[in-house]
Amino acid sequence: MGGGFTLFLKDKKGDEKVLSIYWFIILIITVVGIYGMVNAYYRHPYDIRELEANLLINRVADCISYGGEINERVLNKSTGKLSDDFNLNFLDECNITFNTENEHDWNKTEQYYMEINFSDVGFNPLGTIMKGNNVFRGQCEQLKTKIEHELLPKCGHKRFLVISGGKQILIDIFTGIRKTEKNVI
Amino acid sequence: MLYRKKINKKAQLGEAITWVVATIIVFVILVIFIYAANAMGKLRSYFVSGGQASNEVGSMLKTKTELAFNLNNQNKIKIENWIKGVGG
Repeated sequence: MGGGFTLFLKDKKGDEKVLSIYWFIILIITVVGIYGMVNAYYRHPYDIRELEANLLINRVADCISYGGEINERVLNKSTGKLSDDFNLNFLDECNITFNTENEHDWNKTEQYYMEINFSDVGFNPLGTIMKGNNVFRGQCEQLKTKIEHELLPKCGHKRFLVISGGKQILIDIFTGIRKTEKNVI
Repeated sequence: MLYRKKINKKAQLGEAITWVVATIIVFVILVIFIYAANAMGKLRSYFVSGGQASNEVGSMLKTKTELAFNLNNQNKIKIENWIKGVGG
């Protein structure tokens, strides 16, 4: 009888040992699981390139027109076409800089593109301002699979109307931003 | 005695199965939660990615166009259709 009781105690100690190992394993599984959940939630970077492309359009539109009228430096008064001076000094005139962080070889290839088309109401071109990496224009118009598409630049495209000396001028702004390494990967 | 041993073994087996099933359930729940967190992370990224900004820029340019129409409202439909051509 006494021997049976000792055996029972020994068995109980063994059970407790197995049980504590089991609980330890469960604890590890839970910790790994919680780490996995937090990692899965936060590993996707915010892709703000579309936001940036639209902000760039906003900036350009504010530089070109105010209160519905065109900035007087944009068009050449005698020809009525885009001023060469404004075209050449566009980035300085509008306080825009295409500088990027010196990472991922971004300083070797430009990460921005901007194209502004001016035309009259009969769609006759009055001039075009193009700055940055013009490869993005074609890339943005490509139809690709979703993964490839995410790796391509994000673009913004808007149009609006301004008045210059009583005449209607149509403005078409296209912007493209790459910076894939920080926004997607 | 032999009968009692058999009963004990069955009880032990039953208990072991309970723990194994409990572990599997914990594991499956964790995997489901990891998938859900992944999906929610993608969704969070999607909502931040600029749809709202595009609308705001669109409405700002719309205001500019309306101000221009106040100064000269000729060819209104033609110009509005041209603007709509890019979803502006």
